Order: sequence, then C-alpha cells, then structure tokens
Amino acid sequence: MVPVSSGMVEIDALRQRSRMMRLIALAMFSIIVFKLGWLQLARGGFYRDLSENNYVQGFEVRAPRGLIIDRNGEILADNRVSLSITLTRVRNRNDDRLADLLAELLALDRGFVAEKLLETRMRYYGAVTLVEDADLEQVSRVEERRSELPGVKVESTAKRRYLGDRLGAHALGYVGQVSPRELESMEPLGYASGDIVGKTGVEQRYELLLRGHDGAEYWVCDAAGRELYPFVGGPSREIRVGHNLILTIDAEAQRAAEAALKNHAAGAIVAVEPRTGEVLVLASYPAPDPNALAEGVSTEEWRELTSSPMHPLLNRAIQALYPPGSPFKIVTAGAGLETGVIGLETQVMCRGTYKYGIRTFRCWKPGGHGLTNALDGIVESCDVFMYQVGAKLGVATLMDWAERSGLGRRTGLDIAGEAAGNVPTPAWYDRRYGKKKWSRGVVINLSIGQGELLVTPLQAACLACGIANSGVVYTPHLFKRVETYSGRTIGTARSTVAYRMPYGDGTMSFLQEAMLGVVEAPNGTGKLARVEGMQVAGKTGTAQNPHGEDHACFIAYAPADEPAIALAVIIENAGGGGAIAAPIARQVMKAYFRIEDQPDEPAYRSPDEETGGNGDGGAAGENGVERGGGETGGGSHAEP
Amino acid sequence: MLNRRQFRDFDTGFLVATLAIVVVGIAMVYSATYDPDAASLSPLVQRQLMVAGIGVLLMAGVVLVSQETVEGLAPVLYGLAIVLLVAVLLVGVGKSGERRWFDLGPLRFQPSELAKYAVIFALARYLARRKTRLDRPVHLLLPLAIVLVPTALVLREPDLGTSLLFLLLLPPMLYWAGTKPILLLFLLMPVISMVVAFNWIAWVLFLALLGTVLYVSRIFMVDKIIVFTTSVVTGRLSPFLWSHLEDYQRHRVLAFLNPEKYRFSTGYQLIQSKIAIGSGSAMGKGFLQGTQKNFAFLPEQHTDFIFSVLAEEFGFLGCLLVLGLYLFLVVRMFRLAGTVRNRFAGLVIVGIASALFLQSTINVGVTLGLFPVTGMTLPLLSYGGSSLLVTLASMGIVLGMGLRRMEY
Repeated sequence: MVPVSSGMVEIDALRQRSRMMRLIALAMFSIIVFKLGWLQLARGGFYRDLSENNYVQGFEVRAPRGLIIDRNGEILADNRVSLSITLTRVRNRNDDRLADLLAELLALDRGFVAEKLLETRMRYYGAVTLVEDADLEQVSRVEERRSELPGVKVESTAKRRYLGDRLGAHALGYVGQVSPRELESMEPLGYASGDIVGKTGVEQRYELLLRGHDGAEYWVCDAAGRELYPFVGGPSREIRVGHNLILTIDAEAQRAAEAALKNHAAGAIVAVEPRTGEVLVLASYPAPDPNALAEGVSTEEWRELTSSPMHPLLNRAIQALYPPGSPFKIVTAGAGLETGVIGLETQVMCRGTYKYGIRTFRCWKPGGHGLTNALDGIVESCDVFMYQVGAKLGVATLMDWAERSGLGRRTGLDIAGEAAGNVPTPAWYDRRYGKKKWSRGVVINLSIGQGELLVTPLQAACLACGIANSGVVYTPHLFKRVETYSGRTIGTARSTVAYRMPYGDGTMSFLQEAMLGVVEAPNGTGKLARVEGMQVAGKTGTAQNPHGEDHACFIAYAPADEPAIALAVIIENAGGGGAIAAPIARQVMKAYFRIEDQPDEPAYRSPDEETGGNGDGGAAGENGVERGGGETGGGSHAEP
Repeated sequence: MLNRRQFRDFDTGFLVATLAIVVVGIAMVYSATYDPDAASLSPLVQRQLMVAGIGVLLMAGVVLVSQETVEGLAPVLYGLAIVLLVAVLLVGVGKSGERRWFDLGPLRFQPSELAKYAVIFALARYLARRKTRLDRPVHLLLPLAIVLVPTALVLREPDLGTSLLFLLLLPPMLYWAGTKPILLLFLLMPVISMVVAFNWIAWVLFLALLGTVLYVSRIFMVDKIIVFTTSVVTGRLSPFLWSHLEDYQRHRVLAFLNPEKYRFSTGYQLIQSKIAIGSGSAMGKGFLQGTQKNFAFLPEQHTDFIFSVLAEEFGFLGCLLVLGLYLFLVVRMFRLAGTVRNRFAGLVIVGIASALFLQSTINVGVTLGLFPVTGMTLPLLSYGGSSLLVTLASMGIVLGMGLRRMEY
C-alpha cells in the first residue's frame, strides 16, 4: 500500500460528494420535468380546453349532523331537509339579464340579486345562497326556467331539528353558525366560516362526534354552467355523516319533569342514577326554543332572551345557586354524629325557639317539636335540634363536612357552564367581611342550609346520590354511547367515582333510615312523594328567599333498598318543599318507573290533608327573627 | 485583495444565468400583476425593479469581501439574525396575523430570509474547524442546535416553509463536512419514532427493525444505545405529551398536519395552478396572454405560484429553459464546492447551493401538485424584496469564493 496524504484523501472524498449532490439535483429536476411534460405535453389539450371553454367548479356537499337519542332510543334531535336556491359563477354570463329574471321569478329585490351574483365572481369554490329555506313554489319556478338560468341551482341541505317541544333544551343545547372567535381555535380542525357548530350543552360538548364532515366535489362545467363530468385529480372528498349520540337522559321522566315545572314560574329538576352517575333528567324552566335559536334569532329577539327577568337561557339545573335549605340537615346531622358532638340517643328540647348570644332563632314549627332526637330532627325537620348541633360543631367543622360531602365544587358534568356553588368557610368570611368582622353565629343559619351556603340543583341531586349509594358519588354525565350512523358502537361512557362521602357505616345507615322516614313515616314532612309499590327516601326543604316567596325544594331517591334514581327538585318562589316539591318528585319517579296514574287518584293531593299546610318551615323568617337571609338572592345567581 | 489573475477565473456564465432568472422574474411579476387599463407600471413591478438594481450592486460589492471576513462575521451575523427573529415576533407584521416582516415605512424586511444565510455561515464555520468531529451521533448535537433555534423562532411566526428549509439545510452540509449518510439516517430515528408511536404495533415493529439494523451496523456500542434509547424515549413520550397538551395547542399541531385546513382555498389554487400549467402546452400562450391568472382570484400568483404563470405563458419550452438555468446554477455550485481549497468556503457554497436547490424544486413541485402546499417562494423569480436581495448577495459570495478558489 502506498501511503497517501490526508489532503489527497479529502479531495477525493469531496469530489465524490460533489458528484453525489449533483446526481441528486439532477434526479430531482428530472422528476419535475417529467411531471411538467405530463401536464403540458400529454394532457395539454385537456387543460387548454378547461382554460378556454369549460371550467372546473368546486361544490360543497353538506354532511348531516349526527342524531341525539335518549337512553331508550327516542330521537331528541334529528335533521330536516331544507331546500335552498344557490348561485355559482358561470363564465361569460349576462348577469344583468339574469338578475332581472331571478328578481321577477322569486319576488326578490333586484339589487340584492345583483349583489349575490357579483359575489359568485369572487367565489371559486362552493355556491352563494340566494334563498334559504325556499318554498316549493319558488323551487318549481326555478326548475321550469332551468335553461334560462345558468349557474342557478336548487340544493337540499340537512338542518338541525329538535323534536320534543323544548324537551331537554338546556341539556341538548343548540347549534348555530360558528363565530369568528370560535373559529380561531376550531379552524385547525377543518372548520370554516359559515359552518354550523354546537353552541351550548351536549351539542357543544360533543361537537366533534356529532359534526358531519362536509364533502367536496369538483366538476368540469360547460359555458352554460352545466356539470359535464367529475374533474379527476382535484382534491375531492367524500362526505362523512356525523355520529349518533345516545344520552343517559330518560325522555319520559324528562317530559314529566318539564310538565310539572310548567305549573310554576321557574325551577329545575335533576335526576341521576346513583350507581353510575348517568343523568336521567336535567330540566330547567323556563327554557328557550332551540329550533328558533338554531334558525338564528334577530338581535332584538336575542336581547329579549338575555334581558328577560326569568333568564330562560340560564340552565338552572347547573348554573343557578340556591341555599340548599333543609336537605342540608343531612350533612349537619351526619357531621354531628361522626364528630361525636351528638349520639343517636341525644335528645334536645325544642320549644320553638333557640337563643344564641342575644339573638333568638326560631324553629319552623311555632309550638316546637318537644323532645327531639337525631332521627326526629331529620324526619320532622326540626330546626332547633340542628341549631344545637351546628353551634357545637362551629363554622369551620360544619363547612369542612359540607365540602367533604361534595358541596362547593363542580361535579364535573360533561357540559359547559357548571357553577361551583359556595361553601362559606371561616376563610371565606374573613375575605368577605374582614377578620373578626363577622359573627360566629352564622353557623346557626348554616346548620339548616341557609345563609351564604349555595348549591346547584345538580349538587343537591349528587347529595341524594351519595346517601343512596352509601357514600360513593359517581361523576354525573349525559354521554352514554356514540354510534356511527349505521349503528356500530364506537365509544361508551365509563362511570368514574367523583368523590366519597366521609360518613361511617353506622352514620350512613342512620341517614338512610332518616330519609326513608321523611317520606314513609307518619310524621314525615315528605309524605307527598310516596310512590305506590316502592319505598322512597327523601328530604324536604324550604329555602328562604329575602326577595320574595320561599323556594320549595326536595331531594329523594328510590327504591330505598336498591336505589335506581336520585333526584333534586327546586321550584322558585313556590312555598314549602313538602307541599310543592315532593309531589313533583313523585311525578318524575312515577314517569321513570313507568307507573300509570290510578284513575281515581288526583294528580296532586291537597297538601293540607296530610301535612297540615306546612311542608317545611312555612312560618319561619317572620317578625324579624333571624332565619336564613344573607346572600341567598333570588335563586338565579349564576356564578361569574 | 484580488489580483488580475484571479479575475480571469470569474464565472461569467454563472452571473449571466443568475441575472437571466431575475429578468424572467420581473417579466413574470409584470405579467401576474398586469392590468391593461392601468396608466403606469404596477408598484409591485417598480419595487421589484428597484430591489433587483440594489441587489446587483450588493452582489458586486460582496464579491470583493474576503472569505476570512465572511468567516469572522459568521457568529455576529448569526447572533443578529436571532435577535431580529425574536424582535419580529414582538413587533412584526404579516398578511393574516402572522409576524414575519418588519414594517419600515415604504419598505418591508423579512428577517427569516437573512437568517437562512446566517445559519449557513454559522454551520459552515463550525463544521470547517479541524477539531470538529462528526462521526458519532453526539457530535451532531451542536450543529443541530445551531439550526433548531432559528427553526423554532420562524415556526412561531408562523412560517412553516422557511423553518422547514432550515432543517433541510442540515443534512447536505453535514454530508459535505464528512458525516456518514448512515449516521444522518440514524439522526432521523427519534423523529420517526415520535410519529410511529401513535400506533403501538407499528411502533414495536419499527423498534424491532431499528434494533436489528443497529445490531448489524458497525458503529460504537455507546452510539447504538444512544440512538435506540432516544428513539424509545421520544416514542414513549409523544403520545403522553400529546394527551397532556392544552386543546388549543393540539389544534395548532393539527393545523400543520391536517390538510383539511386548506380544504377550499388551496385545493382550488392547486387545480387552477395545474390548469394554468397544463394549458400552457408545449409553446405557451405568449407573454401577457395567460387567462387563468385573470379568471381566478389567486392571491399568491406573483409569489408562491409565479411558476404557473410562467408555465402558462411560455409553455414547456419556457419552463425547461428556466429550470435549466436553476439546474445550471446548482450543479455549477456543487462542482465549485468540490474544487475550492478553503474548507469554510466549500461548506458555504454547498449551503447556498442546497438552499437554491431546495427552494426551487419544492416551490415548483408544489405548483405541480407533487408536494403539499408549504408556502415557499421561487428564489430570484418570485416577487419579494428581502428574498431577492439576500439571494443575489449569496450569489455574489459564491462568485467571490470562486475567484479565491486556490486560497486556503
């Protein structure tokens, strides 16, 4: 071997690399020249024809949105066929004459037609809509004069339709044109201006499942705008129909709930299956008409919707905050038992009033309940018993148990906008009023679920779920299953544990027994919720409302031995929970269990017969005696 | 300074080819923006003419700069480019929300154009050092970093095409500096692993294949382990990171990958481009006689799609001529790189040649539908002041280095 200098080796190497690079460049340019030759030489005539006589027009093929279906197969939202008259650009068309003709045929303003025709010249893809939701007469007129109307077409598109009369309006939500702000984050997912997207509720949350993927077709058109044959090599796309969404909602029970709510000014009902977290009913009244919202409402109508004192757009079931009222006594009693400040045998003398410092608090029953133990305290909803438990626990401990029972935080329901509620801990009071600027006496009000303690109806339902399920609360959800349009399941919801209530077995079975007593015992306040053929457990409540009549509330679950449904009912400004809310809960449960009304039974039993006109705490709060009040508001406080 | 003998080596053909492309470019910008009713020259053409004039002067001036000066200035230029790229993210402007240009009153300056050459010089300077070793994966980390910093900054503007170019410049320059091709392939493995990992069967197969290839390949055991473990780690990490991204971040990534984003505008643009090119046939329709450009409103026809105007008006023959000019320049530069004695100069020429080669073939490939739309301009030909200016200057540098080819 002859030794070579490293310089020589390097020069040889560089020559070789230089040759390699030139080879790659040559290869790449050859590919380009080959493709160029194919387009210009082999297919040149075809393309020249396209550039001079015929032309390529892109068409959008709208794909329908998936259906929304209840747990039993009832369709809640589908699509209807809507005909529209559209315009596409046509080369060398006399737009003036066409505008005259169209304006006359369709009884439109000529200026408007001319403007739309001008718009087609800027649009190389898709059509410009001239008449949306055209009627049959307009359509037939266009079809008759077809030959004189180059580039004018009748297109059929699928539009969202909500089938029930506002059934589950807040849960389903509605659709509308994508807003510029939404488009910012959605554009990468293939959305374009003018697309229809879910705006609220399930429609919004599961937009990506429900959406149909629009198709694209490219056609070679002749000078008159007629499509001749598909243009091969264009970026065509097949349409993909949206997936069908099966919800956990039970339409039958939802209907019953909404029917009952309609007898009152406003309210909400939430029902959940305790062992899974599946939401069976999510009703809020009043509700907007989703069909009208999907059509697009005028600015004026929108202002009316948003400024109405009844706030129809507010989803009360998850966004409105109410003081929980007496159902909170479950937490007070449970905390008392768990911490040992009371026992099951502890008795308290209720003479109708309770003194804390210099202030006097009343029980809802003016004469008092006499000697009361924990069981009577819940079954008869004795305020004085709870005042004493609360006073012994103190604000910090009681609110700690409230938080650990799931209040004051979002449950994690799978639609947007859920409020967290408020559990006023000492830290919260310090922030709110300043250190030492508030009285420890707030615990008295809090112990019966009044004051600054605020919950959503959904949280109240979860409280019932927790007791029904011996402490385990599953994350409530509306999504059950998603299927392709041909019925193949591609995804199923899984139940996840949201939190566990901190009560021991003994306390838990006591609370269950007490709730059973509320409905089934002769001295219970919730007797109107009884359902024939099963045992119902519940708790009545009357949430004080400084701005007007009290809110009636009721939480329940049934059957008591194997709970299949847990629910919360709140009726704004309606009075006592036992009289007003309990019978509504009964209606919803009957609908859910498909129990027919007995022919001789009135829909609503008179409250006076069984509860002495005072479901719960009717007379409290009068004469300036402190009970409730504070930050409770009118019940329609959405969290910011 | 240069002596008379060196000037005898001046590559006139190279200069003529460069200027010919610029002239064709001005004619095409004129045609693309032609308005028969307008009284005066379109302001775009005026500006392009002015920039071309300045560019030629700059090119002439750059020829006189010695390669030691270029090498000495490389780190300064790189630092300046990084500062400008950061600054443009803060105060830059663009067509629709991007931040690509500095707005200097009547003029606009696009720092990413300057950054292309700053990266080439910096890479060349590092790779030219005698003590730089490039035979193991760990050696490639610093050159990778030199490229990745501006890539990330330009990606933020966002300008996918230009940031892609930075990355693509790395392999040819490493190859020229002596890295084995097999090593360059290994450099790609962690990236491929990241993508493949979304399907675990494919990922396992990929890892098995990689492991086998590594086992039989003749590189250090340590490097085998490095390549394999980084591939495993990036692959394991990517689906995890993906699921932990915020929604909007995920959308941004999808925007780069999802062609549906361009579902209407670019889809149609491509069809129009193909029709324009195809209808040019063999001989073309003649200067200013193109019809596609008038019929369809194509916003990028004087920049990204200028080649389709050329193809429509001058046909296959015209295209062949222009492509031939590009190929001539590229081949000429690669040949020159093989003969210059200065290692730094050779690397710079390879970098400049690669930039011209990649930009021109990708741009033309896009108009022909060979590549997805990336937003890369045709150098020297497309409308765009910053690009024309720096590309002409880079040609000047190549010419200057050609004169000094015998210097070490």
